[in-house]
Amino acid sequence: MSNHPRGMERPWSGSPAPQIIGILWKRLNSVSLWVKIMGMTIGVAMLVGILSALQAYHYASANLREQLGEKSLSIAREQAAQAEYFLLVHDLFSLHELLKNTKKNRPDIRYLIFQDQQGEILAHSFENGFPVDLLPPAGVGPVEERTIAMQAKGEIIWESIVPIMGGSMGTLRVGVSDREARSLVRALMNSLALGTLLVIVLAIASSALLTRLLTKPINRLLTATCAIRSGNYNTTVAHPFHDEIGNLIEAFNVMAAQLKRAEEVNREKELLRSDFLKQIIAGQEEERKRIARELHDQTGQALVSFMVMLKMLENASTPAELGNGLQQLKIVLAEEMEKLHQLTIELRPSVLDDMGLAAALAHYIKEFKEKHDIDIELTILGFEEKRPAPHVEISIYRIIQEALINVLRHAAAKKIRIILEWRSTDIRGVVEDDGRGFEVVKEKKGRLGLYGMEERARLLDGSFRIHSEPDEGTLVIFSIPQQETPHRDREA
Amino acid sequence: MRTSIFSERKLRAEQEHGLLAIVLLLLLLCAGCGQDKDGQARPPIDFDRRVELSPPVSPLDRDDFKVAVAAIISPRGTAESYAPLLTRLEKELGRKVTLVQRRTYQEINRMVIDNQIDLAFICTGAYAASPDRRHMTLLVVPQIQGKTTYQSFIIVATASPALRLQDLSGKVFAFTDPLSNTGHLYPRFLLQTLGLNPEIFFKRTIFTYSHDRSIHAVSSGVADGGGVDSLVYHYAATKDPALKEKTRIIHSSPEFGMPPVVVPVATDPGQLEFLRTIFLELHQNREGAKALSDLGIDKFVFPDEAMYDNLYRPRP
Repeated sequence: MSNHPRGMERPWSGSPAPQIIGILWKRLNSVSLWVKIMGMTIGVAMLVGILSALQAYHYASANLREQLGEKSLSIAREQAAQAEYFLLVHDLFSLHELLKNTKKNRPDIRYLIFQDQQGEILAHSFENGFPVDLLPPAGVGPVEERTIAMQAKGEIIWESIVPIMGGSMGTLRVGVSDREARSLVRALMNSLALGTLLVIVLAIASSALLTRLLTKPINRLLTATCAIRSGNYNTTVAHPFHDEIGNLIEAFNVMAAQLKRAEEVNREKELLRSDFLKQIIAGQEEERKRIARELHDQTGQALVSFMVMLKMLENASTPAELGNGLQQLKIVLAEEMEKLHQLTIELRPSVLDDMGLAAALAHYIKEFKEKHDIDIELTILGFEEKRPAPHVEISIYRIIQEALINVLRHAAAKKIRIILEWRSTDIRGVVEDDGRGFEVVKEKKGRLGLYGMEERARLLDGSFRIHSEPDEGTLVIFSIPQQETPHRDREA
Repeated sequence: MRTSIFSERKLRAEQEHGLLAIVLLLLLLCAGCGQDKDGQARPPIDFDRRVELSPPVSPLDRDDFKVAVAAIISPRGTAESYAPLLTRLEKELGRKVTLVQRRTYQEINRMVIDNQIDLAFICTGAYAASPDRRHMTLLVVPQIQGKTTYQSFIIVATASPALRLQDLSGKVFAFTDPLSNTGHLYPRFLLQTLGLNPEIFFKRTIFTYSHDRSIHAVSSGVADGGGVDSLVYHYAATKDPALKEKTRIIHSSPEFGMPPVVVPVATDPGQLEFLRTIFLELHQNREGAKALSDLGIDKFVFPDEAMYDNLYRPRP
């Protein structure tokens, strides 16, 4: 490379050709489908037309040349044979008649000329003089049979020269014009051009039809897509044919239907969520009200009664009466303390914080059994020596609590079985009852309890399912991912 | 938003349609421009530039030595078979010799009478039975196979049932030339002696204007019978044996004097003797002998005027 002059290196560098091709290609690709299809069909039609016309023209011209040459030669031979006798007996009149008749009967013959050995013209087919350009050159020698093409004004003359009796009786020259034959070729070309034009017209019509067939469903798809984009999911595109576009439209329709369903589910969930939120807020308010009422009705009253009792104690006259009163106060105080403790436990089971999920559940179920007289079988596996994260614990606790409340409220069950198993990566829970069951699909909507459970599981990336049939009991299964962690310290 | 995209597309598409239309038009125009490039590099012929040609000079007006041959056989055959003789003659005379042929014997006779030609091979009949005889001088007579006489044959196709001329009643008969001895005058004479009129006796008669054409007419069935020169018949039969197989002689005439070579009566006596010597000595050199043998002639001999008198009287 070093011995190359600098200018010779990479001669294409800076050449805009590839760029132009790129731009052209891009432009070509951005034209509408109709232009593409029409361009293609017209292009093919024209290509076929032009190629076949060229081919036909080539063959016809070649054939024409050959034929005209052969024709002039064969006419010349034939006429030379016929003229021989007239020339031998020097019958110039008959020779003229022969020329006249031959020319009359063969319109493509331009001329016939008899000339003797010296080149003197004995007879010719021209009227009113003889063309100067056709005068034989002086001193014609022995002539051999030959055919030549000569250019004339607006035609080509194929002239054959045939010696008569070896040239001893002179020669015959026959000129055949290509005018007629060329007009035949022209007619052929015209008909081919007309045919091509017809094909092009058909191509335009068919490409318009094809484009319409292609673009109509595509445009419908576009409209439908825009509709979906603007939020109208009630959109399907009709296409009766099972071609590629048909498949695309079918897929689109399926997709639109799924989008619609997803949208519906979303909306439902949104509705449930907002209901749930309202419920939660209302629940909170209710809870506050209850606590306030509780505090007012119970603790407040108790405090008032303490005050009365203290007033009475203040006024106690005897030590026995004071001791008695204090004893009374102590009992009432202990009662109130118990009630206050209960309230706090209900607000938040401290046992969960203190002893972990397994113990809290066992405690809660023990109380639940006692309170509601239902047979509950609780199995807890894999929780030995370790605890899940606090938010997981409380979620699982609440799910099971909600499930039990649901069973109590709706199932009229006699037996409940609860299994909670901590497997290597998740905690799986099952709550099964033998109650009356329900139609899941029908009743799941609007059941905030169920939604709350599902929501809790989902918030922790878990799953939640309910299986139930009327009179077949209910099975609640949930699973929450949780890696095994070392047992947390109680203080932690 | 959507409509704006669509209208923009439409606008662009329309521009491209315009472009496409122009390209199509150009292509169509190109398709029409293919012109052929025949012809050669020479100035084109202009048929409109005319010149008046003077009428062609007749060979009779040329200063050549003109030899007329009455067509015993077809003009082409004549031209071919006489060519060596004429070439020899050209050498002897030191002048260009031109062969002159005419359709009929009468035309040849006319040229001799009018002194338009220098020498003529004419038919026996055209000499013997014609008043033109006094305008001609007998130069020499050919001797063929030792004879200076010949015959007329009446021939029919081999398959023909005819055995005599009388059997050809209602048939087509081929004469050669009206002045031909063997081909017309003798057959007509023969019919007369039989008391028959050829115009009534035959269905049709044709003139073929040469003996070989008459033979062909009979052999090919164009004519049912014909009168021909015995010399030509034998000559043709040797050249094409099939002809002999296809034809049959049903009548032979008496012997006639051979078709003679004549010169116009106005010929200069010195010239006449010069010519006669050339002809009489032709067979003595190789080239001359070859030319004679091509014509089937042994040699030329001095003529006997009496041979042409009383043509149809039987001779010894």
